[in-house]
Amino acid sequence: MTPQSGARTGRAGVRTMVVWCPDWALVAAGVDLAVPAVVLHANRVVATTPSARAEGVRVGLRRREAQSRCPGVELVDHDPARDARAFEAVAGAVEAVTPRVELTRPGICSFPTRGPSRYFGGDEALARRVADLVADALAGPSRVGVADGPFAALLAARRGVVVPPGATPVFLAPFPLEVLEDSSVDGSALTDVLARLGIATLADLAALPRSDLVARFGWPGERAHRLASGDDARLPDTRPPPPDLVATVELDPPAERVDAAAFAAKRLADDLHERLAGRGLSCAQVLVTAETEHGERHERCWRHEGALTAPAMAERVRWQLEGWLDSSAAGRPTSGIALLRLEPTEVGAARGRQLGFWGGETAAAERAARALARVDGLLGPGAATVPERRGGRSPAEAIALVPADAVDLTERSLVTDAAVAPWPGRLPAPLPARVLPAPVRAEVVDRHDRPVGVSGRGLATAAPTRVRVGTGAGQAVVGWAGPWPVDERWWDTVNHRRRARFQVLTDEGTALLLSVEDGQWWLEATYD
Amino acid sequence: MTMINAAERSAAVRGGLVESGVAGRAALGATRDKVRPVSLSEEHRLPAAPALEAVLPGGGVRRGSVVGLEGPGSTSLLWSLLAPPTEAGSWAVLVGLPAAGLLAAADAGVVLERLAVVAPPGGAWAKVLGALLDGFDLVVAAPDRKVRPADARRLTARARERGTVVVLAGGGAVSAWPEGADLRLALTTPDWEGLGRGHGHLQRRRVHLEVTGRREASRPRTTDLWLPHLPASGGPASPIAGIGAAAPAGASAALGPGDRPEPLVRVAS
Repeated sequence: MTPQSGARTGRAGVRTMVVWCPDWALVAAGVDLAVPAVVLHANRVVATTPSARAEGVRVGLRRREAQSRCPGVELVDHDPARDARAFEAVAGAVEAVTPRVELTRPGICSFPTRGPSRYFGGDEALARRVADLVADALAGPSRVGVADGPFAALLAARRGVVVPPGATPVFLAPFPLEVLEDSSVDGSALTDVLARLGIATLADLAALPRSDLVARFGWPGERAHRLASGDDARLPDTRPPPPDLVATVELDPPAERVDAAAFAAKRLADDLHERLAGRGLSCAQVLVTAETEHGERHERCWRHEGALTAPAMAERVRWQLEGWLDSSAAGRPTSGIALLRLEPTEVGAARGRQLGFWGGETAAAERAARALARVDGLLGPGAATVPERRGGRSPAEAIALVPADAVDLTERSLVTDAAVAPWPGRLPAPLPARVLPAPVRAEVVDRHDRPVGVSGRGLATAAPTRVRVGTGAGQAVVGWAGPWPVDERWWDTVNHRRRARFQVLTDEGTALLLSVEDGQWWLEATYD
Repeated sequence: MTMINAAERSAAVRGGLVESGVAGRAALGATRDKVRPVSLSEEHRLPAAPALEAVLPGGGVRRGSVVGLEGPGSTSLLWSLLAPPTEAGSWAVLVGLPAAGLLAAADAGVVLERLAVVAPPGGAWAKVLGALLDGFDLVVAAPDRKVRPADARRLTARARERGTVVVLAGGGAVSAWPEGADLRLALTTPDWEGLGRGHGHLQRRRVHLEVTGRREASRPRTTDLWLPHLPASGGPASPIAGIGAAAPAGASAALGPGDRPEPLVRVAS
């Protein structure tokens, strides 16, 4: 076993089965895979259906490019929470075979096969059984693969094969280096350099001496060599975590809604993360347990390729609870969540995180995020919000407030296509400075004290003379403009709205934005 | 001889005085440079829009002070106050302003990525303001009930220590703060232009701004402002030529899709 031959020096990977549901983001969104459709995130394609791929749409293209290659492509928004919730059905089905299901990300789950394989009489039989269970639970396609180690098992699942024990290095040999990018935190940095050095396949990589790779690339190089050789990526000296790292919180009164439980989970995740960081550990896999008052328990094991940060842990707890509540009537909890437990099942030394040089986290944004978290603690979840641009015609619709803890304040960009798209019927600039959260009833009358209306042709029936908001005599109208009719969704019998907007200047110098709908006047905004 | 000597002597003395005066001034300048404070008070001010620089004492709002805005147009003035600091990187938060028109704020130049909005705290105003003073550079509050004097003193001291500017938006907010504001910006006599009887649309408003306050702001300063100012089409945004001058020609010309109104323009007097 000379170093030159690059023979394996670590232990072989644990025999693992991976269930892979291709194009999961689209299946979870309910899109038929025969239709060309893509999932968009930040204006780029992150997932495609096979029919879209046939037309030439690839992951990473911009939206316009994708539409130019396939004009009829359907666009779906990126929603990781929806993907995780929907994947709960698959995880529930696989749980019938083994209790130790690990969810890597929505669309991929894995578990060690030693016990179930013996029970069901071999890997092949187990694979067939799991494939049947998942096909029953799921409308979309799925594939199952078995190999030594989760990395090789995922590649086996993509092919749909069962790799015999010990044959993993031979199976991995012809794969190109790009397959390492999925599971690496650095992305393509390492594989780019290796490609330029002339390494094309995993076999070439495994043939290199491991010590040389470590010397040149450090830990990512060692990890890549381990994976290419068919070893487990986990270091052999991973300690079992000490028992006092389990973080538990009892919710009293029990949380009836997912929001309240997720808020408690966030604090719990922060607490656990601090304890881990205090010992210099980071956690790659966490077991989340939720118990209700009536004793129902729901456990899921979540793993992450890199390290689970506190917000990532809290997010997974939220997904798990939402998935549990959405499950079938038999599996749904019957009362509120009374206990949440986070148990790190796999910890390793914390390697730190290389922050980006430009942008990235800034101290001011972190301070602001901490202050908003304290306000959430004082006033309840959702009290601290940040604005986000939506598309819309009226000032109230175009900006929405989202809870601050759902957003990463250090990296935000509010320019979206919806925001800069032209919206016919928009108000002319300058926009009103005060927009009432809910329109207030008003009365507008002409000089004979009759209500002013808007005719079917879009003309005012009379010149407004007085405006009355609430009680009081009202104010005289000095100038006015309108009506500016807005006819929204004329094709939708339920949501059809016809209103007309007016700008009105009163004798006290206040300028108001009024709208009339079905004969009723409303004050929408003031130009304060 | 003595007289000549005296004249000569006095000339010599006067010349000497002049010389020593010049040397003295130079020495005085050197001493002033040595004892100059390491950080000038000008650096402890928030950036302000050009139209407000002339009227705010020191050219900007001093960090750690309490500012009160009142009068018609105070919300638009608030957005114009928030725009330069948020562009420069400061974070701002609005507390208890459910009617904030954030699109208008964005048009005035406020960077929405550095703005947060907190729901009205009900009875917990002091605690919430205390928590926010630590994390933000600008806290805009509109308390709907009187803040207790002890709480107000504590919050003002904390704001001064952290360098956070507290802005009380609205006349009701200013009166709810027991100690009053360090700087009061009061707007009066709004005069809108652009709206006819059944035609046109609101384009610009002229207001009178009076700045009063404590200490350096105790001498009242006034100015007239366009708030907001929609420039006439075909020309760049520019202040009006003079008070009482006619509105720019073509004031009711059609608004192009790319036109953004100049949020705050000083009426040059």
